[in-house]
Amino acid sequence: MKDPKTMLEVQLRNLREGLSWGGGLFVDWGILIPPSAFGAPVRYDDKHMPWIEKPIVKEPKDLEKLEVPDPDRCEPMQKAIECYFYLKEHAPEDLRESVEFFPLLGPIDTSALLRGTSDFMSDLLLHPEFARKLIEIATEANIVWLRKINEIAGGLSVVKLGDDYAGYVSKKVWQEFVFPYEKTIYDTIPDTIRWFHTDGPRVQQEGVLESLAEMGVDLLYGLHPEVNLEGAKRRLQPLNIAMAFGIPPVDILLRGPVNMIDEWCKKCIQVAAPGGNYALGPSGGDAPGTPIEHYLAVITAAEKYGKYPIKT
Amino acid sequence: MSTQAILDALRDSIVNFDVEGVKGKVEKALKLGLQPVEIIEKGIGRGMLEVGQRYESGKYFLPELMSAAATTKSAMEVMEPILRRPEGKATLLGTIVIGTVEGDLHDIGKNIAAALLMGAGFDVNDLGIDVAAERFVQEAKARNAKIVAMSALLTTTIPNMGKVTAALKGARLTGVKVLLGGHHVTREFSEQIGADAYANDAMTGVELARGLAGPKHSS
Repeated sequence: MKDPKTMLEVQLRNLREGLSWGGGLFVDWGILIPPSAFGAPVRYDDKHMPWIEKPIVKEPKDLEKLEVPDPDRCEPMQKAIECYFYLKEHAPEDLRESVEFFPLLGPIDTSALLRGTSDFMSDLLLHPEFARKLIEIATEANIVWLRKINEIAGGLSVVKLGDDYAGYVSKKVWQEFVFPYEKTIYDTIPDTIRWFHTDGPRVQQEGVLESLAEMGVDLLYGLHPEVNLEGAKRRLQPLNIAMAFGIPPVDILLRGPVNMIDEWCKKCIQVAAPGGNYALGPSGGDAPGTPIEHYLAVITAAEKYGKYPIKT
Repeated sequence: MSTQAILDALRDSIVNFDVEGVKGKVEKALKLGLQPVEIIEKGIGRGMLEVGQRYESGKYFLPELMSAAATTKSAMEVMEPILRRPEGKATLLGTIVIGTVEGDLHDIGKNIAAALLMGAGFDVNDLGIDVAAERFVQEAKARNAKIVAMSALLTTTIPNMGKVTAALKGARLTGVKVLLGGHHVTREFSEQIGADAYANDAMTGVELARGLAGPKHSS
């Protein structure tokens, strides 16, 4: 993970085998930035994405110690920038344009990692001002980092934002603590395509999916397997918001077998592809250990069933 | 205030996340002569059960669940000195040692389960995240646990649950029941590693733990 050379080799191997959901290269530091930029300790190991090891905000006074990271001086951000330029320089020529940074970790997840998820979730109700201040600081860090990568990239065309825990809250909490901050981040760079990801199944509650249109979201991706694909399609299609999810990463993609994956993909395409605005994809992150044949089964199914007009 | 009224008030405190107010209500219940077991089962436990049901039915969300857990913790702090005494401990359903297995830093599912188990009347010893097999064994032995409950979210860390069951067996703690938790844990895996039960959600986990614990007074 820390070595850009290995990062490039692994991603190129996946691309050669047709196993990349994004189709390009990226600075794969997972959720490291911005929490690590605030000083949260990071755990690296061989099998998983880097992870924030323990929270650093234990009480309100700890907020005073949090400084919004300066990308020009902050080590994790500098390392990510170095990695970006390494990929740009060493990638095959036809892929250099595709190099980008990992999606921004939104203010809810950043706050949860800095504070500890359980404590942060209860803070939203029990200590709302504490939670709000933390979210504001996390939002500011997101904005500063987004501006920097926009500058480095010479103008972003797509802003990708991910906030897993945002999809686990009520509509009331969403409206107060999620929506305004995510929108502010997106609005930092106007006239961009906006991608949004959350793991939480509660994103499908009435009014929340619809509010994504106000945030200017163009694509909703990687939603929790419990989110009803058909219902989401019915509600998002009139808003012209595209979707990319539908394959449960463990129960279907990891465990298979291939014929089950084929059936599942067929069903997803039949439900969500008519009228466009759908990309077949996993619900949530890929499970480590997923056999290559299972990914290939998805590609085969997409080629087989994903041609318009869709046969239902 | 009648004993039923104070038990109802305790339940309401949990359901409405009255973290501070719940302490006074526990004190009042004790002054009224209620036994810890009644306070837990008919007050706090009823509240946590209702919270769990509201979460499952979509009326409550993660912030509500974790706020109720914080309220339960606050209530249990008042009772802790009483529960630490042998006669107090005997009123609980038994001791559970719970933790997220080695290599896994996810704690939300484990925390939900711990809160519901506490509310159900178990003496819950939460070892936290990234817990090595040896530590589960040490704590189970030291605390004379009835149940070791393990959580894992990642497909790469789920196999570490097998290390814990093997270590418990190696330490001859065969009387300790093993409960697995995690969205991706399967019956086949549970049977393969010799666990006693598995649950894909916390509410089911509580019901299974009640069954595994058996009668009171044996922990």
